[in-house]
Amino acid sequence: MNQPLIEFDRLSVEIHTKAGIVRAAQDVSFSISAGQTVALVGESGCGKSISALSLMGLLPSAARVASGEIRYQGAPLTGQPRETLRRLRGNDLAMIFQEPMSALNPVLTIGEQIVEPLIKHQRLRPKAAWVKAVALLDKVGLARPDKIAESYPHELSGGMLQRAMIAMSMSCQPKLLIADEPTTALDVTISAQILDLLQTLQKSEQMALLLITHDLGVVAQMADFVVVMYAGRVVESGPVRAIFKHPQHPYTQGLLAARPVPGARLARLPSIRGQVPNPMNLPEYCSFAERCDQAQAQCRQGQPEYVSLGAMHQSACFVVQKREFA
Amino acid sequence: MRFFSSKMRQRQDIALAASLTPMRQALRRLRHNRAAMSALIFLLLLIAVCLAGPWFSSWQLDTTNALQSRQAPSMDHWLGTDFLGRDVLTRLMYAGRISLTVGLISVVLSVALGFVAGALSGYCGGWIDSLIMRVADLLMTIPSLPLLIALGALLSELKIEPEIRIYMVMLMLSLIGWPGLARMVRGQILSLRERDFMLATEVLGLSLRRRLFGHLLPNTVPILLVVATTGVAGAILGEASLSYLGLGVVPPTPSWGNMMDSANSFIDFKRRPWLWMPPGMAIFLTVIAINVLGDGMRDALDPKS
Amino acid sequence: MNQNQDILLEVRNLAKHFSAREGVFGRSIVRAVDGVSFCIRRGSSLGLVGESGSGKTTVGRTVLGLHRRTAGEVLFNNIDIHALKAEQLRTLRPHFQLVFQDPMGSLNPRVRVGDAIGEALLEHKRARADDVRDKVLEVMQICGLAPEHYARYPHEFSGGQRQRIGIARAIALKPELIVADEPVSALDVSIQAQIINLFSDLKEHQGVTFLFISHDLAVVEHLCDDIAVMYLGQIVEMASKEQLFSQPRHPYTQGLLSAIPIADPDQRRSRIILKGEQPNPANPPTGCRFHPRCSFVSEKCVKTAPELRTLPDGHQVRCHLA
Repeated sequence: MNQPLIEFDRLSVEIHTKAGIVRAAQDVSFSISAGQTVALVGESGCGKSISALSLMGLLPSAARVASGEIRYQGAPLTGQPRETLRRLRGNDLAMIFQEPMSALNPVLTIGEQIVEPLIKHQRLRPKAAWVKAVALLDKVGLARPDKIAESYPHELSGGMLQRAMIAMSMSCQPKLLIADEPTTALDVTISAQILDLLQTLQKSEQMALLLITHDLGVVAQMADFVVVMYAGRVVESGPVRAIFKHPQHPYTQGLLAARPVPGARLARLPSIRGQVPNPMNLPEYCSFAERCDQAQAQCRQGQPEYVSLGAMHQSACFVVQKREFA
Repeated sequence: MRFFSSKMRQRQDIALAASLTPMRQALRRLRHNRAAMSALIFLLLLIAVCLAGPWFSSWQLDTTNALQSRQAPSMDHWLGTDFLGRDVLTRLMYAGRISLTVGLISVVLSVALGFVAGALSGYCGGWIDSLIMRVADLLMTIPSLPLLIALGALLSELKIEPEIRIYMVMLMLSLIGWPGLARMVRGQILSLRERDFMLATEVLGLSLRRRLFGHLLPNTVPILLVVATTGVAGAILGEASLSYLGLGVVPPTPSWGNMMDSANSFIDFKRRPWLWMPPGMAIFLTVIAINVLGDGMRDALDPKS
Repeated sequence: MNQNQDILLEVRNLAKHFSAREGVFGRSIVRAVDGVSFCIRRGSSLGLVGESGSGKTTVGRTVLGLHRRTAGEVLFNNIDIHALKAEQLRTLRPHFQLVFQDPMGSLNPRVRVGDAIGEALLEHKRARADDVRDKVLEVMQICGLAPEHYARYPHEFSGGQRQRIGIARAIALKPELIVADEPVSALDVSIQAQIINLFSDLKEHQGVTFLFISHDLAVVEHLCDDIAVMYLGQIVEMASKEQLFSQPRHPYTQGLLSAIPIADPDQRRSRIILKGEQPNPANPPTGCRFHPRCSFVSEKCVKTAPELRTLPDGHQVRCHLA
């Protein structure tokens, strides 16, 4: 079996705030193989972004990895010197964000911002770097790339900015692209364009894609492997068909049922009751138990272990465990 | 009857569940800010000493004693005596009353003026806004110290009684203070007006009075409190500079500023620090404490920090 | 005539133009809404769908009289609300309410939840000081809020609960029409479903008429009877939701429908991906406003602007080819 590109091994991240410690991610484990698309799904505050940021070594200063590690091609990433991480970030790992506007520097032109890493990491001469920058903008489907390279972020629309961000992230042919809610801020038709572009690039560049999103439709269309997170923990993970066709964890089931599907004539949507628990004081037992219709006494007694449900499919739930081993 | 009692119980439940108002929460945050609380305690002590101190002093404010002029601190005169043989500590406490009162009242005046002007300007817009803002701009473009000096000189020229002069000084200081406040209140109102909750009050068809006094203006109060607090420090400094120059509060009424007058004499400055150090330290510590408290309030009132 | 009485809201040729500053001296006119007409029958719901910049929010706000119209009429119960004096409009306001997208921003942070809901009841004499609390508690219960929430402040709630408060505030006045502007798009998926269900209940049990503004076709399809699709300030297609979803006539609607990602890995279809982006409404294209992005574009489309035509089955569409 070949080695995965990225492995999350029981990663836990804590954020220290004035009001207390937030356990943002707990025991997060999954892996990404070369060229694979993995989707990290969950609602706001479930720990999906913080996991990705720790992979990039971009955790906010109040946050720290409490235990576990992330391995890149078998070598641990956590605890590496800053310089190593920085080089890795420039060359092998790249990231795009939900708000391209805030990730770009407003006083530099798009071209200047793409050229910078090319000169720094690939040691290109300024002229050659500019030519390459224009080529990259062309590659992400921007019309008149030479003109775009000379414009400032505020002159472009959200969709164009996201394309420019993708061009920038492509500059050093990364092995993994992390896309954190890349289309959430965009309109439906533009978001379809961006997802299409990501898919095309992934094939042509043979890179892996870690897609962080709350939109299950996007996941179904893009992902090979799905990791569902809830309140800082992975509750279910598996190949995309297994997750969508045979979801096991009550949260995954609820999430899938809760979205209105065009054409399905339902009077009411099956919704998950209650609210997401306060990350400041998560229960010591399954954090979904209070919202779960299938919860049993056992669910309020401890954290469920992962149950294997066939090829690569696993879930952390007492109910599933009981059902499987009954 | 039973229905009634269940309803009563419900009301009690609601009363019990009542939670902290945003203001109370801010106070609670302020209480956890050690620097701000020390500053507050210092200021309260200072006020207490200035108010109650003179009762316990064995010296009168205006009792002169030519034989005991310019004496160094001793057991009798803790902070020495001045050139007329008056007890420096006693005068310092009386001066504190004057300086703090001038600071507070001139800020209250400028807040009132600035709030009304800013609120009118921000809410009405149009020519009212232009008029008020141009007047404010005009006052802000004139350097304040020369203006104060000119006004102070005018007061001296008119030979105003020292007691009435204090009130004139308060007025002068608030004249300088209000434009900044008006601008701030206006800015606050302009941004609040665009917020969704103000649009909501329109959708709900609330009356203008309710929209203004129930929703718009109360939201400007926190920032106003912070600015007013730091404004007190500014007013105390303004009064001190004027009085030091002999144009603000004038003797025989003591103020921290005019007590510093003795620093004018080179010999006093060099040899008799007890004449100018105490009022200097009083101004310095008071201004710092007020500013620290103001910063603490700013942090406490801004939940994002 | 009988049919007319059934119509709660009629919008005729509504236009709203904003003048925007351009450069230092230049001014340009943004035609945010340009000739929009539609009717909503009492008790039914219309979904207004479009991308950002399509003018859907401006339609909602102008319908409520929050923006002054540039042209056209908004007839609410056959009264042109834009012809009313400010005070008359204010007393009419309880009849049409708005639910906001951002539940936090639409609540005054210094007002307790119960007071926020009850305030307008008192203002419009729908309650007296001694029974306002009971009336508020009743509405809160309908919206899934507990009595102990009465005296809390907005910051103590989660996003979904805040939206419940916003809805409770709107329905407390027993309005005939509610304009809901993207009411679920700021919420998490599992919470969205709760709020969508709440809207279904209100429609069913309270008989409220809705103008539902959203970019999310799936949500609109779930909640609305009719759907109007907006593009660059105009309605390009309007039909019952069954017609619109089964037989979309306008190429833009087709692209929009095809762009919804379906939550089924077995249905990874080749989608119609609309090229380009919506142009600046200050400077709309000639002819059909959609022609630069349309794959069926002909010469006629570039030259003449199509009118909104009604097809025999009642389907309305603004396209030369349909």
